[in-house]
Amino acid sequence: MNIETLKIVAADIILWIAFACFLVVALRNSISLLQLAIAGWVFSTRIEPSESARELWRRYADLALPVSVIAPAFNEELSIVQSVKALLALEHPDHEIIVVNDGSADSTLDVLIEAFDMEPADLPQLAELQKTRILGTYSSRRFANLLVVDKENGRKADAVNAGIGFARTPLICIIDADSIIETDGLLRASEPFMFDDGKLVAVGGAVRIANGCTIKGGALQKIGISKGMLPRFQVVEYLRAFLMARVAHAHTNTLMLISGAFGLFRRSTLIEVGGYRHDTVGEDLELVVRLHRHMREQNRDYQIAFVPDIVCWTEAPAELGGLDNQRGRWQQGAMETLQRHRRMIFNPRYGRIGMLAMPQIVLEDILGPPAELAGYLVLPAAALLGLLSPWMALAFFFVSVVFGCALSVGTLALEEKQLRRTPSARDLTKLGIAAVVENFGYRQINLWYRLGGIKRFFRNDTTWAAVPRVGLGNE
Amino acid sequence: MNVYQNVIIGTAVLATSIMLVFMLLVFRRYLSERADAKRDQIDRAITKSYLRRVAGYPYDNAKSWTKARRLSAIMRILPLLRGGERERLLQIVELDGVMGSILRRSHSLREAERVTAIRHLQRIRSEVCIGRLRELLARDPSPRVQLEAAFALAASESLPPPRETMRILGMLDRPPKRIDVALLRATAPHYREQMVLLLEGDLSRQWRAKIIDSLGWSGDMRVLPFLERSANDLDPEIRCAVLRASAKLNHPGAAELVLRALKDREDAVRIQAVNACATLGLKEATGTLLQMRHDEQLWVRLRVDQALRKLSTRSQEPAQLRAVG
Amino acid sequence: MANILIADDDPILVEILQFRLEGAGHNVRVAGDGQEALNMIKARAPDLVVLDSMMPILSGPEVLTALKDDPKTSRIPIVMLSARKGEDDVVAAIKSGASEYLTKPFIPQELLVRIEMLLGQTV
Repeated sequence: MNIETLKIVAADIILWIAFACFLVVALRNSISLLQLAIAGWVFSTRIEPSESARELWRRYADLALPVSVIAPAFNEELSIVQSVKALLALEHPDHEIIVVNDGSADSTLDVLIEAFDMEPADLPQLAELQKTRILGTYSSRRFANLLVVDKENGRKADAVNAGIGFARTPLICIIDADSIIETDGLLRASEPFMFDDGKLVAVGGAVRIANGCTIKGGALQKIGISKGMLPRFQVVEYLRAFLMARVAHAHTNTLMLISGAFGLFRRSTLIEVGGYRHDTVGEDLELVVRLHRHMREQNRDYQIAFVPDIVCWTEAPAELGGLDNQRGRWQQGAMETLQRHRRMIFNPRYGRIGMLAMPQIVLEDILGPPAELAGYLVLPAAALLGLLSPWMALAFFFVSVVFGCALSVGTLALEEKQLRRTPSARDLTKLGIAAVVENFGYRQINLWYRLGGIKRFFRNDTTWAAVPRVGLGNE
Repeated sequence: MNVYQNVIIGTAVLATSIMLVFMLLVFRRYLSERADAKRDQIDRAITKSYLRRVAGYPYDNAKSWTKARRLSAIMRILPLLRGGERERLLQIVELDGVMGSILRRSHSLREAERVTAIRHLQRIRSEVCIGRLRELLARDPSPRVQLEAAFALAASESLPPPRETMRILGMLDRPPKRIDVALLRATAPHYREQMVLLLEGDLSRQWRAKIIDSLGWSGDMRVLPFLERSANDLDPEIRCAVLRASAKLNHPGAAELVLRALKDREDAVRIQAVNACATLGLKEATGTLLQMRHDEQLWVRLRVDQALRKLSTRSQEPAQLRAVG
Repeated sequence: MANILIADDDPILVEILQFRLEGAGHNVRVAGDGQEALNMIKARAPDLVVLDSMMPILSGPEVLTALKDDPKTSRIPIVMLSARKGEDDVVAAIKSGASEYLTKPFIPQELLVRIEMLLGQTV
């Protein structure tokens, strides 16, 4: 073998890599375009829940399935009282709040006991899903629908599982400690259960970014746009994820992720599958995948729905460090879930979940990020070396970056046309600019952070620093 | 031209057109923001004009007030008026042709448009509106629109008899949903007898239970003997429904039936009986409830605890409310 | 006959209230947001204020606190309007000095009766 043949082989390899990258990125974006089209269709034919239906629910309040809202709390002494007050004030005919104090090192528990007049209650746990020890339970003398569970420190998954065990209602709503639920969010999210004949097992809701909004007393007062670019990029990103991807997935019955910030589940199903897993950093994705698997393996007819209106606001990392951490964790979580449920991938036994939804996660989360990053390097290099037509390199740029702009701006247009939750034309313009700019830098940085997650997955790293956050309302 | 050039051109065209749509939407938003103050003025002027017309004073009537703005103002004013004023405003609505445009809209080819029309019809609630709503319920090709019409009729207490409602919405061909129960309950006060007749025919036990449940909302004590008769049904689901209905009727006549059910062999029935004791405030059940704290079923024990707490705090409750309000 | 200030950003409700109150022989002024309301009250104190709780710039409770903090305006009776049914809100509003509290939707007649009662007390 001489130098010449080596050169030819090397050129061949580069060409193949270039083609593969191009194909993966093009496929990924075409799917997104399809999702945008489906979401557009869903929204344009959507009939919003009517007032007269609401009037009926009010009149026959006992028809609404009671819900337990499970709020895990870890070192939240400063905000917990406000958060719990906001949860107690949620509109719902019959809801109960279960705060799980996850072994806080500060005085979260004392603050709760003091503020809500809690007394030790010795409540029975109906199902034991947690791995840590329960230290005590408290009920409030002032609010019959408030419980506090005190336990040893674990992860969020463990805290939520402990709470699920104490829930006595047919529905369970799982939120994050810092989720800000819209006053009628719980009501809107539980509406699909009124139309259900027993198939519905879970409902997800749209989550938006609270940075820049005015928060008072644990409730959203005024929608605003953050001054920093990073949160603005994430606003666009969340819109893409929730208004475009989730709506399309739910419409085609392939919703694979219900955000940990807000999700409504049937209690019986959660207990059947054993709640969250403790050994993954992507417990929210893993839970829904496991739900699909469980129901399909038992040949049960089931449905997972999604409410496209915003139900919950959550704080996004305002610094790159926090973003790095979060994205790495999401990536690692996705890979852990895929590894655990790899049997489902392209397995016709799991129907459209196995044949479409799981492979799409593989494309989106495993092939996508490295392929796009590699493409940015390989294609221009190969074009410069004269291995492939410069048109192809330019086309790659268009397919990844320009197409990305189109999708982001398209989602914003969808939001403005249908939901109109952006406060003003000025803010809308700011978001529009963010939607274009995010494709030059932010998007690529995210891909890089995802590579970090892939590395951690292979190192089997489970130590994750908490995401540094800015306090809400202090911006 | 090669394939890549096509890709580039295609992507560019797609991106440009989406950007244009977005810019158009931003512009539309900008315009509507600028017109905000003016729109408030127009809204106030329209409202004033209608109020003056209702009261019989001379009034302004500008051509520039669009039908949509008039309609949205009327929709806000109507619920705030009562009696004669309301009647007069309804007449004016018809005179101005606003009613006609709502009716036309209810014939639109688009589902969402028809649903919007249904919501307007329901707010206005005049005879013409109810008539059109019944027509939509009976004949609209889309089940979603039919359901929406049913909601509107239920909210205005004008649903057709239960047998008709059930047939039109195809209820009997599927398991009952919560919305079905809501609709049945809404018909119960007007069609108590028809419901009892329905129960005498052959119905699945699921539906039978739901209809018995709805009877509780008839507010009519004459259904009590019927409930008594069904209290010993073999099906626990029906026994549960009887207890729910009895609790809802909130009549001392149901006490005996509830107390008996505390000893039922099915835990689901016992739970309903315990709940009914709490709702009816049956102090005489306290003894049995105290025994039931050792019931073999966890769920029963939980409900017993709740009921006992409710029975003991019942006398204090009104005092608390007064302190707040 | 009394001077009444209505502070609410909902044009239709304001118009109906104004029509009714003027019909009952009162003098009515209107403010579209909290700040405007505060300025108008400082300029000329009305006999009674109808205050919506959700308003731009300054919210109802904020205006209420400002009025109660100023000895010149602290004795003006205030009727709060709110769309929320939270028990805490009612308590908070009454605590910070509102004389009456009405939750929307209400019938204008009801507000009128309460206003007449309040005016009867203070005259």
